[in-house]
Amino acid sequence: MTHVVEAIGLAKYYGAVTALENIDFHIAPGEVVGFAGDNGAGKSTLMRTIAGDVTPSSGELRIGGRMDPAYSPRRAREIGVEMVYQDLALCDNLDIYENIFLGREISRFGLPGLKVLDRPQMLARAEEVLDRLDLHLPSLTEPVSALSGGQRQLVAIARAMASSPKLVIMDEPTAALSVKAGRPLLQLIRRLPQSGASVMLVSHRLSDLMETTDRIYILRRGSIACELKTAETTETEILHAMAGVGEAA
Amino acid sequence: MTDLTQSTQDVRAKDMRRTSLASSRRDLRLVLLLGVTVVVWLAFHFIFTDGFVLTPRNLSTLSVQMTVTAILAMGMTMLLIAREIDLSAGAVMALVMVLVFQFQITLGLSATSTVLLALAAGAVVGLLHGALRVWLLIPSFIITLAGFSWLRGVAYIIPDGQTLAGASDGFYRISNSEVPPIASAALIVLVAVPLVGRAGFRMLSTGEKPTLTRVMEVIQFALLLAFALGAAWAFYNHRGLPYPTLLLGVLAFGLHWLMQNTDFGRHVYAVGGNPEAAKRVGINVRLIVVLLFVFMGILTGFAAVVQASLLDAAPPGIGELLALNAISAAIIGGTNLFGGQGSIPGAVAGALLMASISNGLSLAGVNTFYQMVATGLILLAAVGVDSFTRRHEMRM
Repeated sequence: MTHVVEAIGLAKYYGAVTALENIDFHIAPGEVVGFAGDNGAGKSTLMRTIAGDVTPSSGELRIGGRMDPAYSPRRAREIGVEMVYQDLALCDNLDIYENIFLGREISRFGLPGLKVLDRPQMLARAEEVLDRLDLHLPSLTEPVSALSGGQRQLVAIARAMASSPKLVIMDEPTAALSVKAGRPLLQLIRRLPQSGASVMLVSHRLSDLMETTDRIYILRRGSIACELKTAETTETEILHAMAGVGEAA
Repeated sequence: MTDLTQSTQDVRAKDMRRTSLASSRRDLRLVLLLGVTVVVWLAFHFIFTDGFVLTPRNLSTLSVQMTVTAILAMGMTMLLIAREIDLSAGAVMALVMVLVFQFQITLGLSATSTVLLALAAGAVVGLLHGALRVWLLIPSFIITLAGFSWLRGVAYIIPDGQTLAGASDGFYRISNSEVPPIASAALIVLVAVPLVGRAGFRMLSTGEKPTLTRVMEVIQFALLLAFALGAAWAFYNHRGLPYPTLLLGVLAFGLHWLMQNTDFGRHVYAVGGNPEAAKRVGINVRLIVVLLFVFMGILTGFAAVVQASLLDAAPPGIGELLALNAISAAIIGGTNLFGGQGSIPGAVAGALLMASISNGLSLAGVNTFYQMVATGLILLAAVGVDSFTRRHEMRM
């Protein structure tokens, strides 16, 4: 089976600084895979590399089994890699459905370089996406600024899922939410594979990782220290792996 | 999902109220502006002058007087929505006016070629500003502040400080002609019927609506109807629709459509709302910014053609305060100086209110110094009302 994403010996250097080195991992279709590590372990660089935002210095990055020499954020979205940023990257002044289709508006007809918006179609499709994910928002024709933190998170996820992606990268999705508000979000993440998306989940909350993932990669000082099966591990084991406890220095 | 659904429903009522107010506020701003404008007209007509304001002749003059500021305010609004600004608009207009008379007098070009070259000259300046903005990352405030000075200088250097005058008949007719009266009235009715009809339809539609929305719909309908009938009456009874006013109308409709109904328009708002987010979803932010400056340049070219033809002269010192007036009109029209908000109809309404006050004060024989005081106070009042309603809403 072709992996949704596969990294072989991936590395990223900024001058003399090593951000990532010897990164080998894969995510299979339908998997939710967690990435844990201390601050500065390379989680964010790794995520941005997979999202096309950072170009690796060496190594192979295969998306759907294929290397893409001109990999970029735009290209990533085209081939089904979506990222939900920690700050959500929403435009407060635009309506909910406009945010969901931002940069990928549906058009009635196009003039060269210009799309004429099909708002009814965009609204209907936005409703469809939310229904498919079993999400509920008040009227979609409100500006995002009117929403609560949890609701904004849903809009960001709906935007990622609107194009039926193969991989959704999530950066600390529960960081800004209370534990109570985060719970339904975790259930939603667990359900995303049913809609055909694998998930790459980066989180500081180990309980989040334990609850949602199938496997967890531990990052330490820019490299993958180990891989754990969620069903067979504990939070303590993850913590020890992150800190390098019990290994020869 | 039960928790979230529950909490969603909890906030729903409050959100609905806040949102219907938020979207009403955009309309409210426009209705308020037009309402204030009507009050200004009535006051000057009945109290401060002997019925000089609401005459077909004066309304026609007013519609031409507002054109230059309104055209620039539209371009300024688009720039401000995307968090950019152009302080050089007055200097660019003066320069293009000087060039227009070079084309007309020295080169003897036709009116059509002159207009096309004027628009191209504006576009080139816009392209230069946009390029400096996105490639050297200089803030547009600085780039256009520099333009404010050096472009004005060039406008003086080319004619050696002289005011060129005397364009060809063809060029003179551009701003000094009208659509025939009967055709003007027909055109206004044609445009007004769908607009007034839609407002009437919305007003009569049933369904659950807050009282404020209902009241607003009635006022909107009444104002639209009054403006349409008033315009038809005025232009029918005085020569017809002046070409500059027609040009302003066409540009306003086109730009409003562009901003509201195309992906380009949405992306301009997105760039102003959250540039980083816009970049991340694949919007070419730099291209949008360059295009906005080019649009501003072309609009300045239009303004220069209108002004040059009206005056039949090109004083290189013209329009010193024009950029600031355009910014004032945009802000009075609801544009947020920090980006993300604003509208084309708002910009035109802002320019109309400013022109109405100057017009009324002139007719009342009041010193122009007072006009400056009035413009400043209107600007403060507009922003003050905005600030107040926003704070009020947040507390709800």
